[in-house]
Amino acid sequence: MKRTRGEKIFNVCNIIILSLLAFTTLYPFLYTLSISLSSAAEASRGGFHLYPKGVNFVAYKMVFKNADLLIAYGNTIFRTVAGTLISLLVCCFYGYALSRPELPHKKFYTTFLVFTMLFSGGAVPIYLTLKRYALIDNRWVYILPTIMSAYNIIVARSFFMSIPNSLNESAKIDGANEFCIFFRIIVPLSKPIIMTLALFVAVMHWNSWYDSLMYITSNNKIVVQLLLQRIVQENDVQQMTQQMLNPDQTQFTSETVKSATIIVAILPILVFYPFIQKYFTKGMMLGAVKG
Amino acid sequence: MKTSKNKNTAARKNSTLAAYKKHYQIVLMLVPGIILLILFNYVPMAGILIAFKDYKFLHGIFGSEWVGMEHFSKLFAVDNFGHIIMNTLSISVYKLLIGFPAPIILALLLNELRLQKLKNVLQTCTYLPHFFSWVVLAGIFKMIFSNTGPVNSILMAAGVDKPLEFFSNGTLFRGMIIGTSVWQGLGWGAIVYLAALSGVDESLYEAAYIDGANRWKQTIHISIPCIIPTIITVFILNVGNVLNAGYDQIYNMYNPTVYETADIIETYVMRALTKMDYGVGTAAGLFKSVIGMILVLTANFISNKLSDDTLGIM
Amino acid sequence: MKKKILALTALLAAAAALTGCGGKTDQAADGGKMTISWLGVPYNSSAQEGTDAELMLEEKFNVEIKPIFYASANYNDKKTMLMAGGETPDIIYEMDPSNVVADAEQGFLSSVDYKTIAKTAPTVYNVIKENAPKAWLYSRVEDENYGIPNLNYGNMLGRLGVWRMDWLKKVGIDKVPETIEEMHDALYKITFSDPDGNGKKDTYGMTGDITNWHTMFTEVFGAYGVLPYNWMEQDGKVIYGGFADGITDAIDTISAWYKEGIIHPDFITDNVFESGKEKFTSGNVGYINQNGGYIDPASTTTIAAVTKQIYPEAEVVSSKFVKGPDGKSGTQSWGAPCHIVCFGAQLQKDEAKLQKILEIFEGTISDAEFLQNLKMGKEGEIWQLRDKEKGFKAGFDWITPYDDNSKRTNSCIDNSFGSPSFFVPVTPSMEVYKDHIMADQEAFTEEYKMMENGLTDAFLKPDTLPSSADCFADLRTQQINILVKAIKGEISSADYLSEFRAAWEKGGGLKLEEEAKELSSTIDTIVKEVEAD
Repeated sequence: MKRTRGEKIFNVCNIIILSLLAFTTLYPFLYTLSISLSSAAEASRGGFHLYPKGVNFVAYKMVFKNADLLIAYGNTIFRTVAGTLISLLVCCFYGYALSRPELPHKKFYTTFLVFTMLFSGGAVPIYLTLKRYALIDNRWVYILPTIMSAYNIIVARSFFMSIPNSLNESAKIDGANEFCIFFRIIVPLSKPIIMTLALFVAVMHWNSWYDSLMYITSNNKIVVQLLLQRIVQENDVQQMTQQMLNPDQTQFTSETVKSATIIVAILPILVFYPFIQKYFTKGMMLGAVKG
Repeated sequence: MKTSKNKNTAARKNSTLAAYKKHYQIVLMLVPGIILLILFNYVPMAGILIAFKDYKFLHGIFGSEWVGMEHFSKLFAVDNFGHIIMNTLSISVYKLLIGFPAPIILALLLNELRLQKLKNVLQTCTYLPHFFSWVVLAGIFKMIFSNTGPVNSILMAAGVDKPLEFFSNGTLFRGMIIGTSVWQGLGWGAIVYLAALSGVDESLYEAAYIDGANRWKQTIHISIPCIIPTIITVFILNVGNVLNAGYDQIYNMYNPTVYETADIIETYVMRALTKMDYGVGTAAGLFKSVIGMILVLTANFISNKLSDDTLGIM
Repeated sequence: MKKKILALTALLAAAAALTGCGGKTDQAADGGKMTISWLGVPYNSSAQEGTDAELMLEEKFNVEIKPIFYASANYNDKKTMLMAGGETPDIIYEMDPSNVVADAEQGFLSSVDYKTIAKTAPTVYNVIKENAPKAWLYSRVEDENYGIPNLNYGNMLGRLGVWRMDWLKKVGIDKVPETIEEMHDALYKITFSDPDGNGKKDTYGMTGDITNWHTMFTEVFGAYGVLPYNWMEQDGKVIYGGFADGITDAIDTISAWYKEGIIHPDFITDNVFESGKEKFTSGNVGYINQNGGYIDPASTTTIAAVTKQIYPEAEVVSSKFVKGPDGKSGTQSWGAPCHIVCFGAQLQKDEAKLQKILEIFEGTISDAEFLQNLKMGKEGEIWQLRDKEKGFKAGFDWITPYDDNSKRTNSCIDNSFGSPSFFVPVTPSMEVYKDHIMADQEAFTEEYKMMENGLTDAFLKPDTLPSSADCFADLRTQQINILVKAIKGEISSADYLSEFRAAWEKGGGLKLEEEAKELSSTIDTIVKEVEAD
């Protein structure tokens, strides 16, 4: 394609605007990374940190010396992998069924779902329910209650709806059943949205800590995010002589350790993104539809 | 008349049954989801009753005494409840008005980048803030927007005579809250549109190009129409959140001088819960949910009206 | 395809099966031993059942202890859920009096009268009686007592002024400011006489923190005898500090300082624990107030230690409260009463168990040797004396791996000054602390003699009044805002009084004043009751 002058100017402006934006969004990461690698004194100097000063790994050693860290990573990986796979399967089923015009009582099943997005029973009733299901201090509490996501299902549903109906009509004539159509035709065509949802669910699982805090009592079942919070807090305990006054008990830990825990917590999931990105390439659908 | 009506319902019943029989495979796909929704969402929803009860843990939800609308009248009787609602709305409506289109524009701009590598790198950068908690981000913003910080230094150099007090001027504070929240959600929000854009048939662009349409026209006539269903869906889903103005962000950034403009429903509920007033807390939550549901249904209704029942989610 | 459906069904079935085997641990059916479920102070979240301290208690008192280790984050929610789920522990650690009220009203707690405590646990009772009889206010709900308050001696100390002495010397001041005039002089010179010698006007005297209201210019207010956000006794009456005599003088002083430019313009957003502290350590301000924990000589994260790491030439000293024109001085302090140890409702009917628990508490703090072993671990195993001849007072060192904070935390070991620990939820006397728990006695007295007891709220905390939950936070916010306007010179100090009085009357302040009267008579009753026993 040939480009006009206007387009060239637009291209340059676009790159500049997006680069500036990207710099501002990159900054918190650079800041945290620099602090985590700086010496404690440099880190508490305040001001801008773009690169580490007095580079050392003391903070990371402090974080990694915790023997439970590997177990906690194991739990996080378990919930992320299993949770994402199960959630994707169940949600895509539900979304696909909702996208089919022939589903009876479609409106009801949609409302039934959307209702759960807005209404919740509250913390105590949820706890009591989970207790009744014997999910307290049980790793499945990470996965089972989070499988259904109304948001993800509706987003998936609208993507499925954009797939031409003619495709499954013709498959049906060939005698394929609905599950067959779903896995053979719909899933390959929906890779971008499935990968997007996989990212959403995986990141949600990776970042969650509240359920671990509330529903888990054994130390060998907690997730990384919670363990890292504890490392920060326990580091402070000796100095918490005035606990009652200061709701924020993390203030005594050195900035470097706090920053290191953030990096340790988010880096693995950041690495995951480029693998998803390749599914966003233009023309994904094209080949599939034509083929 | 009566008999024919009965016949009608009977016939409808039969046809529904037949539809279920005929499409049992599709229905089967719903079953695991329905079971999970019932077990983990609907069973605990009995807790909503707490809004109408004097909840005593030892008696359980059903054993506690009914108090009717007492918690609600307590809630609405709070001196500045109207003020709190207005604060919540003015923050979250702006967040929606600016924060909703912004990721779409970002996705379209990223989509126009021809260098795939650059696109990937920039996109990865823009979604990073999603991974940082507001505790961390607030620390950084407090530094950047402080009276002696870089933003004010630049403004002063540009001729502003007094530093702008972002943290003690209600209007500026609100603007900063909205701006930083939009900035934080920008890249993450764009992902779903990028996925939708990657589903656009490339041959459409080729045909438009042959017809002489420039990039702007291609965007207006191809890209946007192709992602409209996604845009509408995401909008309807987000509109239900309008009473959630972002507790975490505000809590980490505010100080007493701006409580007046930053006191939102969530901060109020947190206060109610710290004095263990579960009834009022639940009532406030239920109030939020009902308003959210009404907004979702309205947005859905309008979308359906405008699009002949093709764009709504229900 | 059927395989996939089967797989899904199997998965769900497996999930269901797994849920079946989670949960309940075996009840200890140990021949006749009493089992005590023990929810202690929530700072040892990674500890596990079976620490040395637990075993010591179990052996000495012939009981079986089931400790519940919670984190401080969301502690109240977790505790409530545990009890709502029907598992009320025997010992319940309550962080705040409002939690005692809430849990007592829910019927989770057992009431216990002063006589029972005085009879079975006289040491526990007397320590409170001697040091802070008002503390019983914390465990009182509707004329009944629901637990035992504990004390934190560290909380009695006021906030400490911290100066960059090397800066003071550079601008010609040789001694730490002792009066408000000297303080002003020092702050002024730090601002305008370029103490860091870089030729730029980039230093300020001090900054503030309005979010942590109790720290905000508290030494200046104290010099005029005022605690602006607390209830205080003036002329035999309890009044709110925001209207007390001396408040306008204090405001005028701070406002004048602000106008001169010796208070950093960021004082509204600064947080004394974060950005404010940073401004000091990075050489931006020359003075800040801190709480006592910051002067621990062994710590590398104190404000003094960090400043020295950045500026090796820095000399950081602490100061006493500055004296005002009438010789008044002080800063806000929280007073000794800290948290409350309560008992599960089931103990109302199980007198033997309540008795046993009180015996354990008594036995723990009345035997100093045992207490030392329980709180700090055994000598030679966990720690060793620095100088055998001079004994404990010469200090001690933790033995590896117990020199690591988190290792000690996970073993429920600590020696912090005055504050309660998991297995010692009640408070021993100050003497026992000094002789058997506090290390580095020399360093301790050296540093703490700079510290004096601060001024304490007439009701210990300003939000103890029943209606506080409804309006006090809002009133305080309005007060702070009006105060900030006055400090910035937008209104006069007289306007502060009239504006705040109007807001106070409109926002329910009169009701608080009435309740304050009632509560002071309640306190008198409590003190009388306690004296009687």
